[in-house]
Amino acid sequence: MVIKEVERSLLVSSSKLSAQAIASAVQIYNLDVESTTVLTKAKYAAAPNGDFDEADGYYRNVVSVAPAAGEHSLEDLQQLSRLLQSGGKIIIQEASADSKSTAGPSKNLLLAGFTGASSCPSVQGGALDMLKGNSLTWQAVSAQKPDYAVGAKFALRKKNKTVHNDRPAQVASVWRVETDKDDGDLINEDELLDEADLAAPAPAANDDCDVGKGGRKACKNCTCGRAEGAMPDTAVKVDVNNTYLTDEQRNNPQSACGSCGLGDAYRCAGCPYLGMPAFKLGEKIELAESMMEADI
Amino acid sequence: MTAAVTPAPQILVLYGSETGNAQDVAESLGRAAQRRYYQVRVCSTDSYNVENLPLESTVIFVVSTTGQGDPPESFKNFWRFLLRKSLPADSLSNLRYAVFGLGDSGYVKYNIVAKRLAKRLISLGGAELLSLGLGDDQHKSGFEGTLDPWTAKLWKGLRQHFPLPTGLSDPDDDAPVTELSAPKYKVEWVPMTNSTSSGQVGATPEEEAARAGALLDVAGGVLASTSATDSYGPHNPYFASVLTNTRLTDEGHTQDVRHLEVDLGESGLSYAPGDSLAILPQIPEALVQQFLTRLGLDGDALVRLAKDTGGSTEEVRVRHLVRGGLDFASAPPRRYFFEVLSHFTTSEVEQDRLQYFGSAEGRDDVYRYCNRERRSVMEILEDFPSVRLPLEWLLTVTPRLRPRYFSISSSHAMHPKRAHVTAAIVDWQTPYKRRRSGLCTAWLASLDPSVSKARLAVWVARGSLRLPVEPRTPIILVGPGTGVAPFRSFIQERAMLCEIGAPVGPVCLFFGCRKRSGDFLYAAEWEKYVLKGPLHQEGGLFAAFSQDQPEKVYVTHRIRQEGERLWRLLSTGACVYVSGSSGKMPTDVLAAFEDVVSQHAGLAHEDAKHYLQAMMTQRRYQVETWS
Repeated sequence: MVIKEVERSLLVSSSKLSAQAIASAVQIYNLDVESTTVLTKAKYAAAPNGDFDEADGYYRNVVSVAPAAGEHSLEDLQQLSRLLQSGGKIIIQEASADSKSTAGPSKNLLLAGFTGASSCPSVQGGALDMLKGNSLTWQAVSAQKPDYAVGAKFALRKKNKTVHNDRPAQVASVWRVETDKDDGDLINEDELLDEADLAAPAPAANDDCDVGKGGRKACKNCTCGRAEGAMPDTAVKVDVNNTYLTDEQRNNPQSACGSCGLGDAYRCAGCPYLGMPAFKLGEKIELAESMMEADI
Repeated sequence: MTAAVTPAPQILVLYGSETGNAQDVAESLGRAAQRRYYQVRVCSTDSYNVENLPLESTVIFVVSTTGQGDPPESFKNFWRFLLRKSLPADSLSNLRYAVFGLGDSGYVKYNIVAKRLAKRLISLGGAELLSLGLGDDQHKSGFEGTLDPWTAKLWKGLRQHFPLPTGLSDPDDDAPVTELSAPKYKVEWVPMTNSTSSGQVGATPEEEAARAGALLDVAGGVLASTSATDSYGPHNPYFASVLTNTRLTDEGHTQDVRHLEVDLGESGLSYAPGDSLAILPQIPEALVQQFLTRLGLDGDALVRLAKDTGGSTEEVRVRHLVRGGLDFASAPPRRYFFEVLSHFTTSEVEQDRLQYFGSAEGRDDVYRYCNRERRSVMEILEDFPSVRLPLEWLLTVTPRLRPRYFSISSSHAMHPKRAHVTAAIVDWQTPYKRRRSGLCTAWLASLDPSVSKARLAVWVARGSLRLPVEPRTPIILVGPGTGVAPFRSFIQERAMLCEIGAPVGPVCLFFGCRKRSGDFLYAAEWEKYVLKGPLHQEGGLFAAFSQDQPEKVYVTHRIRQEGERLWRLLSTGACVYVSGSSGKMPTDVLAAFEDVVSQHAGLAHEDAKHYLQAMMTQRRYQVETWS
C-alpha cells in the first residue's frame, strides 16, 4: 500500500474562526481539509515550545489571521517559521486601514527570513469580518520559507555511535549528533547576552610600581637598569632591524651581560643578537644561509 | 577487613583553544585536580562527544575568545550543537559546571564566547559552581592575574560537594609545584633480541608512523584499540600517492600556491563539496635521526606503552613513535614543557631560566621566546644543551603531531577517484627575522610525483560549508586567495549537474588576489564556466586585483558594485558562503552585504543587520576561515 504524503497545514487566528471562514481558507489556499489543524493564537502561544507537540518543520502551509494591523510580530513569525518545512508557504492576514500597502507585513516576513513576499487573496467570512470592523480592509501576504536546507549529497560512511542507556530517554533522543542531518533551528547566540555582558570592559588597572609594560622581570645579572626600576618603557621595544648585525658584531661578538652568547632563551628584549644562534664570545657567529637572505 | 573504598570523584575539563592558552590552562587545572585526589579527564571540545554531556556531573570549561569575538575553531561544532533549540531545558540538570574565559579587554567583544557559554549552560538546566571567571590579556599578569584567585575558589567550592576522605589533605594553593606529577605516558623497554620484530612485516615507514601515532592514543585513552576499523580516519588513514603537484601562481609571484591531486584509488573514499582532506605531515627521516641523537635515544629500541585501563600496548620502535606521534620540528610547546625540562638539566644557568619560563612571572618572556617565534622543541633543546629528557616525558610534553586540513577543491562527481588540494606554501619571517616554513606545506611542495614513492596518510573530514540540497538555489561565493578552494568543488559539482541538463541556480563567485597575472587561481577554469556552465547568465565571476591599479580593490568593492544583482538573488533565497583567512576579511564582507541589503531592499541599516543575522542562524550565510 502506498501512503500518499500529506500536506499538513496550520490555521492560526487570534479568535475562534467560524466554520465559514475555515471553509473559505481551505478553498482559497487549496488546503487539504483532512490534515489541517485549526488553533487560536492563545492556545498556541500558551505552549510556545512545550506541549504543542508538532515537531519543527511539521507543516507545509501556515495561515495566520489577526484582525489588527501589525499584529504579527517578528517573534511570532520566527516561531511560525520553525513549524514550517523548508520551502513551505506562510500566509499572514491582517486588517489594515491602508488597503494598498503591504509594506509592514512584508518587511517583517523578510526579517524573519521568508522570501518572495507578495499580496494574495484574503480569507473572508461572517464573524471574522465583524472582528475587524467596517472601516478596515483585509490584507494578506504570502511568502516562502527558503529551501535552504543544507546537507551532504554524497553521504560519508556512517559511524555507529555508542548510545548510553542510562540517560533519560527524552534527553537521549534529542542529544544526538547526526552528521548527515541538519542542525535544526538554532537560538540566536547574541540573545543570550544582556547589556552588562556587552558593556565595554573596564581597563585593567596596573600598579604604579610596575617596572615596565607586561611586568617583565629583570635578569639576575641585570645591566640595563630594569632591576632598579629605572628602565624606561621605550627602551624595551624591539626594533626588528636591530637584528641585522654589523661585521664587528658578527665577527667578534661581545656581551655586557654575559648572556647574549647563550641563545635567545637568555637574551634581553633589546639584545642585538635576538634571532641568532648561540655563540661563543669573541668567535665569529656562523649564520644559517637563510638568515642572510635579503628581506622580501 | 578492608574499608570500602569510595572511588575518587570525577571531573571533566573541557577546553576550546585557538592559540593553546586555553589548553594550557585546562591541563594545569587537570594537574591541580589530580593533586587534590580527583579523577580528571582533560579534553578538547572537538574530540569530546557532546552527546555525553547530559551524563557528566562536574565539568570545568576553559574557552578563549579571539579578537573579533569568534570562538576557537575547535569549539565551533560543540557550540553549534548546544545552540539547538530542540534541546530540553532540563537537559543538563545533572551538571555542575564552572567556566573560565580567556580574552582581551582591548576588544569590544571581550570574552564573549565564555559569557555566552555560561548563559547557555544555565538555560539547559546546569548548576553553576562559581561565577564565570574572565582572564584578560590586558591584565598586567595576563590571564593568570584572575585565574589564580578563581581556581582557589573553585577548589574550595568543589570540596563542599566532595569532602576530603579522612587522612588526606589538599596541597597549599600558593606553594610552588616542586614535584613533577607522573608523566602521561609510561614506557616499558623491551629487551632487544635478534629475533625481535615489530609492526607488520613489510610495512612502509608511513604505515609504521601512523600505527605508532594510534598506539600513543591508545595509551592516552583516546582510542580503544588499534584494531582496524572499516572506515578511514585519524587512526586508520588511507595511504595515497600524489598524482599531480603543480604551481598555480606565476614563477615571478612571491607566493607559491600548489595544485595537488591525490589518488584515492580503490579506497572507496568519497567526499561532498565543502569537505576537507586531512593530511598527516611527515617529518624528514634525517631530522628524526638528528633529534633522536640529541636526546640520546636509540631509534630502533622497542617499547610498550602502559594503558590507563591496565596492560600495555603492542611493541613499537622509538623511531616510529617520535616520527608518527610528535611534532618536535614546527609546533611550539606549552609552558608546562619548560617546567618539566627544569627537572632534567644539570646546569644551574639552564635550570634557572627554565624555572623562570615555567612560572607565571616568566609568561611574557616565554611567549616572546617560544610562541611568537614558533620555536620548536628541537630548537629549544639547542638553547638548553644539558637537558636529557626521558622518553616518557618527551612523549608527554612534546606537541602531538596533528593532521592538517585542506578544503578539497574538486567535486567527487567530476573526479571520482581523486581529491584536489589547493595549498599555499607557508613561508614567513618571525619577529626576530628567523625564516620559518610550514611543516606540512613545505613537505607537500617538495613531493615530485614522477620520482617520489611517498604516500600521504589521508582521510576525509566533514567540512562546515554545505551546498544547498536544492541545486536551483542561487549561491554567492566569496573566496579570496586559497579561500576559493571549496568553491571550486561547489562550482564543479554544479557544472556536472549542468552537463546532465539539470536545472541549476545561478552562481556568483567573488575572487580576490594581488595581480591578474600573478595569483589569479584557476582563472581559465572560471572563464570557461562563465561562457557556459554555472557562472553563466545571472551568476558570474567578479574578481578583485588589489595591486593592478593605483587604488586597492578588494572583494568587498565588487560585492558593493554588484549590490543590485546580489539583492535580487538574496530575495529569492540565495545562500552566501565566505571562505578564506581569518582576520578582517570576514567582518568586512559581512559589512558589505549589510550595505547591499540596506541599500537595495530599502531597509534601515539596523534591519539589514537583523536580516543577515537571520540568514546566519538559518545557515544561509556560512563562513569558514583559518588563521
